[in-house]
Amino acid sequence: MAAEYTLSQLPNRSRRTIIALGLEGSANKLGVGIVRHTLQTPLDQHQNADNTRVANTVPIQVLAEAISRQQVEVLANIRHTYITPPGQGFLPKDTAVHHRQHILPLISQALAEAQVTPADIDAICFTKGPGMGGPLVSVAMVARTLALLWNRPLVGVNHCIGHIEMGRQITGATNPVVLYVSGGNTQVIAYAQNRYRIFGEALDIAVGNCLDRFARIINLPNDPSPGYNIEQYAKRGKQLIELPYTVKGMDVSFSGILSYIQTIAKVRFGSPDRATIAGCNFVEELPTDLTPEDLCFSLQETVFAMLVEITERAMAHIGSQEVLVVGGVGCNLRLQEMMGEMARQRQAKVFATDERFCIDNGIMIAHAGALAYQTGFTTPLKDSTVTQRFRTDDVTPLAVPTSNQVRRGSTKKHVTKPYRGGSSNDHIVAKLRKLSATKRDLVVAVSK
Amino acid sequence: MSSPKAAPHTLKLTVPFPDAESAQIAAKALAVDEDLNARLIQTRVEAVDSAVTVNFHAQDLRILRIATSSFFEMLTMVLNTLQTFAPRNATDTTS
Repeated sequence: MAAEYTLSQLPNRSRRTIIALGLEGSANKLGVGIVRHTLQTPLDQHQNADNTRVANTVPIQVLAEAISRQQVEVLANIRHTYITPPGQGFLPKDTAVHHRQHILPLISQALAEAQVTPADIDAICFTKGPGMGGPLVSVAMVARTLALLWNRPLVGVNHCIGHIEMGRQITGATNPVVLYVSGGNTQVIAYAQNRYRIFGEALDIAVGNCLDRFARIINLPNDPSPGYNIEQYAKRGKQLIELPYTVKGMDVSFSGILSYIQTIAKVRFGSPDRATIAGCNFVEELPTDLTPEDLCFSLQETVFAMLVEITERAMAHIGSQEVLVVGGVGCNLRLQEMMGEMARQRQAKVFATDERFCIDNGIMIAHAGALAYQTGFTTPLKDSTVTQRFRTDDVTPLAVPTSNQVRRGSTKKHVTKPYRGGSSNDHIVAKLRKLSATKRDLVVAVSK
Repeated sequence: MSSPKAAPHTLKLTVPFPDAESAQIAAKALAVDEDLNARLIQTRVEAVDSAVTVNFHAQDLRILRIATSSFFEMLTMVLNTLQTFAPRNATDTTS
């Protein structure tokens, strides 16, 4: 396979600029974004090495180089969040209703803010997955209808790749270890051999899910988000209690921590049911003046220390000096601070974004979709389905392709295994596990 | 998998559209998703002139009700999208 592209394979080859609309609705945030990508060196002005004629093919490196140096402008990035009453989570069906109610006014508003008309839009990008089925399909239905109505191509985007690409774009991180932490996902990711590989991940519930559900137990409001309110409570926490610390190789587990701390909260501050009372003897041994603030503080310190540990190990594995934190939990300043402390000890740098780009948004879908579109990728209508499970390493990106494969967003299953604690590196994992005990003390000490 | 003919419960809907073009768009957008439980229900969405026809073939009434109500939710979404962004409206709202 030749490592070059025929110009006719690429969209709008005569144009320097593309504008993409991005629609995101995989969880309780509904986001609409409009992005403009402007190539600084138009591809149709690329010349052959001998300078004799304008080439009609583009070597892949030239395409990658042009895309990586292009100008990216956020024309609009608006969000509407489905906020449930305190003590309640968001159910897929109700979330889908919310998205269907708000998506059209949101798109109109985004077009107005960006000062573009539908005729200016080159591609319509939507979240293909992962996420909740009902909300995803509601948004995809709008994407399909607009694509047919405006006669524009669809680009199905992997939600996780959207977070990573937007984070890289905003922060300028080149080859970071990515910690993607949100209500639905917890992954440590690094780019290796043409793909974002998952080095470690949550084995059960996501870290954000753990925090959100604890917030429900102690009745914290979901406005603006449960995680934000836990963060505020944690700032007033004074006592650190020991919680189960569950790092398993490169992976983490949060469900045990959640049920442990839920038991404490129910016994001390709520009305425990019989099952809770049956297994609550350990609560008696805890300080009597324990407050909900102390629990929030202890929970954050423990789960963030776990995340910092596996992130650091991934950095050691691949020798990276950059950490990029993305996802809704990524805007937690305490997590950024702990990550910063770890990075300082390694002479590494932490990159993080604020809530506009960390929390689910439309612009990241527009941006990642536009990148894919620029390499010739589109999603045919018949393939514009959504999928609740869509692994980060199922996508072959990227903005900086290193071989002849630059197509993105493919949902094809690949047999390549991500680097995880398999048999080959068990001894490394074991060694690092020993180290991790001291690391944890360190991180906790820093917090005091 | 049983053939649609063998399904004991069927429902046929005909949804009128203002023109054949919008009926085509709606039918194409709605036909993409496959039935989640193809063993129990099969849905066929087609554009016929300026209408969208939908045929449900279901093994039991419960699944037919679920499929019908979720189809109406999606149909409403598509209709609202068409109404909001049909070319003449789009120029009005963004100029």
